[in-house]
Amino acid sequence: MTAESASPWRALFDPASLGVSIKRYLQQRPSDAAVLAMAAAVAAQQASLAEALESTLGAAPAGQDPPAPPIEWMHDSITRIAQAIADHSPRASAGLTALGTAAQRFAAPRLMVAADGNTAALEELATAAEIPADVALYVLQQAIRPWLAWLHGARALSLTDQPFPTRRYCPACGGQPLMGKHIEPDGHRYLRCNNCGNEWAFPRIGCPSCGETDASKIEALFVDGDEGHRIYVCKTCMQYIKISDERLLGGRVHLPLEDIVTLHLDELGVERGYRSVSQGLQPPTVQANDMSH
Amino acid sequence: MKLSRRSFLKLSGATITAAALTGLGFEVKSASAAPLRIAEAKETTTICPYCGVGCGIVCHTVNGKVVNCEGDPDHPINLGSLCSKGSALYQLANNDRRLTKVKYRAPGSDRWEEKTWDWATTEIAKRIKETRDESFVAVDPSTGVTVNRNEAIACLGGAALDNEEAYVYTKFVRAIGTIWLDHQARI
Repeated sequence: MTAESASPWRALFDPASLGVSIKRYLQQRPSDAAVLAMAAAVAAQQASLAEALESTLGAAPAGQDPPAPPIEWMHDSITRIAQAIADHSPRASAGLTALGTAAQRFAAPRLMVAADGNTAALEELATAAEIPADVALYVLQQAIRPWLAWLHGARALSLTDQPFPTRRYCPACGGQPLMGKHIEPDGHRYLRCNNCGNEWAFPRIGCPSCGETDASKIEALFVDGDEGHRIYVCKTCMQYIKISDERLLGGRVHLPLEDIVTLHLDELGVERGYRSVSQGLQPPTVQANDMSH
Repeated sequence: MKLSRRSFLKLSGATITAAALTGLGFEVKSASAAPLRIAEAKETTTICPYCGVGCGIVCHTVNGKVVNCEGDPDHPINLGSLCSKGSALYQLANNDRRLTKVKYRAPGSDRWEEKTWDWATTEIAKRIKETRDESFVAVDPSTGVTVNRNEAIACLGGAALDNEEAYVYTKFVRAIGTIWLDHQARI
């Protein structure tokens, strides 16, 4: 299938925006070359896995009960993602290789449960591969992302236009936001789903965790001289979201990569007593009229 | 940051990415090797004061000082866009050429004098009263109808006035008999 005939959801794995971002960051911070190379390798594998899904399965099925991915595809995805990470990881490369083998002993639903953060399933898999559970979770989530994007991609496209403060969860799959971006030219805010990678509009003055819209309760923190990367902290629910501003960063950004290059902002948020929205949202504090959700 | 196999992210406060990259041996703090200067900014919405369109603005402040103004992308009027004048709104707050004191140039004079606000408001009131008294028409001479109007003063409202200010302004200029009342947004 050519790039021209691919479904729009596959733009979520667009190698073009990733390539531009990596080139820029390599110039700015050469010491991060290894982690940037790992991000590029993972993204390349995800793009390839997404293409394979669409080629073999066609369009995603409509319906309320999403199916588990084909077990062969899932094992292949875990093995390839783990290997892409292992090729650039300073340590744990043996464990990562073992993770692909260990996953062969798990059925698809069990792997899905582990990717969702189930402690028992994750522990079992991590113990078998002898790697930290956090690493196993990261690999599983990266491996499952092309499947979720394929599954929810068609549904996502019609649900992302207008920003509503109550649309805190991904309108396609119900996942939580990983982080967000302010796009060119007018600074509209889009959030990216931590599960399926879908992006949806969200108000600029609004907390994606609790829906707070009182500007006096929301503050932006950034490193002096790097205003393109910010965290917006909410004093109502004590959570934060990271934002990359494309207007200040010189073009389109790839948010999974931005997540990696802004880990110091996560540290800053945690130091000040806040928690990332990617780790779970708080109950809503506003009752906005969101008829479309 | 050290994470054991059981120290899960939701307990540690670290994000999945931070914990995993640390577990993989990547140096995740390279961007913050030196002590960082952290800035804290507020973003507040407001309405552009310059014309009657009423575009939405997001105003960025650091320690109470305006550092940037941009169009509000969520505002239904302008969706983030601004005209050239609105784009320069930042200069309303930060402009070393902005006048902060009363300047007066007397008729025929070639220089500006610095005056106090008390002097200025008193002088304006005095001249309005003089002009109004000189030009006040109680009865229209051609028809004999009582009109009580002041034909020598025109008043112009501004787009920055809110409803209540516009109401008070209208009441005042009508009270002195002004009939030439218009609004800047019509220009």
